[in-house]
Amino acid sequence: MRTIKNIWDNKTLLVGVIIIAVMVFLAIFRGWIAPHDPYKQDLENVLQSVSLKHPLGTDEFGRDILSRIIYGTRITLTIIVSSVFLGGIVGCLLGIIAGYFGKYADATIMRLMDIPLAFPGMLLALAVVEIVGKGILGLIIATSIYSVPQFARLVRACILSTRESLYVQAARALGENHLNMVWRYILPSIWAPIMVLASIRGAIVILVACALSFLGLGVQPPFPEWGSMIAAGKMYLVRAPHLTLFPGLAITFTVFGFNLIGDALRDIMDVKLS
Amino acid sequence: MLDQIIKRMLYLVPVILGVILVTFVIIHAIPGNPAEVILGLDATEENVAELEKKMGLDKPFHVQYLKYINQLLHGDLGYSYRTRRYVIDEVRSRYPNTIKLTLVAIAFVVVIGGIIGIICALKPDSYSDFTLRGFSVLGISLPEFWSGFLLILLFAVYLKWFPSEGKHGITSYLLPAFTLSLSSIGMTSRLIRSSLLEILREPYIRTARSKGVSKLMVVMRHALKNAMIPALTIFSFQIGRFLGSAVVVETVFNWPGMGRLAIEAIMGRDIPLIQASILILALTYVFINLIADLLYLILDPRIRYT
Repeated sequence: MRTIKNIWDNKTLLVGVIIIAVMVFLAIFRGWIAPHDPYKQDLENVLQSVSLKHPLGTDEFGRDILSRIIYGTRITLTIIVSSVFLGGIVGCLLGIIAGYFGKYADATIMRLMDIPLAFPGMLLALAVVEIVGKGILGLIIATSIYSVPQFARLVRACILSTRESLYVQAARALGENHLNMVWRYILPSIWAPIMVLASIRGAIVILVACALSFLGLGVQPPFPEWGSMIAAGKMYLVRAPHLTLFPGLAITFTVFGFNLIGDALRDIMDVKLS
Repeated sequence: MLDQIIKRMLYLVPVILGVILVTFVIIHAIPGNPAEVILGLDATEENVAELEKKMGLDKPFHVQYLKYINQLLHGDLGYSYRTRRYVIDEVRSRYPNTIKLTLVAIAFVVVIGGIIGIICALKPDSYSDFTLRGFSVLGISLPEFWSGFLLILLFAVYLKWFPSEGKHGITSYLLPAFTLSLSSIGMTSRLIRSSLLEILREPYIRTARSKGVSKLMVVMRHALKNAMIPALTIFSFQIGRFLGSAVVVETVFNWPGMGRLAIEAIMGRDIPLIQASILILALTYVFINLIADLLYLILDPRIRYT
């Protein structure tokens, strides 16, 4: 109960949750909220500045930027959720196996986990996206690969510290099977750090995914992905800076939201990520 | 101490071999036949097969891998499909630019991040602490390809203080290096703040304070040294970020470094060049990790590798 009260008292968390809630709302109801069709070109009104009809102006094909940003929320959220989920599940499973069974499983898995971490994250994503191909699926896989070792390390460390605690030993003495041991006794106590890592990874995944799209290796036009919108806008940076400005604001806000949540959760649950 | 250092150095061998192997596997998994890329669209099947044989592409995987390692040991990175120049020459002209940019970015992080961290720790929960902390979370949240354009707009287009792109003289370093350093400034300042706050509660700090030493002096002379150790642990991680972000920032600023080389190679499907640029950036990261670990060993004698 104290935790729940803390959550309400914590303004950082509240702001973060509001930002993400707005993004989720936009992603779900984008068809009703967006004032225009995000794909509809209007070649007589290209590069229009901010106006009543187009609150955030129009892009190089006369498309409404606000509507494109609103439509882009679903692409971004899909990538974040799938990527963190995929990397999280695989990483947690490997971490559980390594931490719970120890010995050879531990040594093998953790050495394997060192390999991706030997590369700078962005570079690994870049190389992987070349293999799996451009597009949303490629971005999801490329960004999830770096999550795997991070979740695995975290879960393994948590399990090693809970494995010897009294209640786990008691459960073992009662003859619980492995699955029950992990699911009912160990996992509930390590949810907090997993959630913190998930929100931090969420923030990084957007940055990497949008950067790849910006470089032309991710979601391709005409889809309204924020990173590729910035890439298209850079040609008109001086003449029409709003093409670059607003999609970037959308990215920053979303990342900011995830970072706030991660920060606040870390404070509330007193998690130490090493 | 010495055996610790040797142990850490020996660990380098499997890591380097692993990095080379992964790069090699990744490049081989990229769809497309290198022989077809070189010969272009109007090549016949016989031509392709002949070139494959000449390049050793028909050999089994492990033979190709060993051959590749052998080449690397001789400093041979192959030649670029596109420019027909030796990859090593391309790398030689680009690599120093990336390293220089990274060094300037590190200087920004140490100076600005350090100052912000100290100010926040001196007056925790004050107005300035709150504002600066807000800014550091914001710094972490900024996409580099966007903050780079904002800086170009402000400082190059409107104020005309710095050049907007390319590498011409000292002033052209400032914008890309600052873009690169923004998120690390945020991270470092937060870390220095929290570890300083922790250290300022220690008895030896109280002793110094009760002797009449001012708070700023205590921080500078006693606390900062110890607060630097946790900052050093993320130091290598930060440089890893710089090397990865180089790809993005160098594209934004048209900077002639390794990151742009990698992107140009990817766009041109120039496989030896992709391979070399990824490998060299990754190996740089491996060595940075080594240096950070060794520094760590020297600065904090309590740490031991097992």
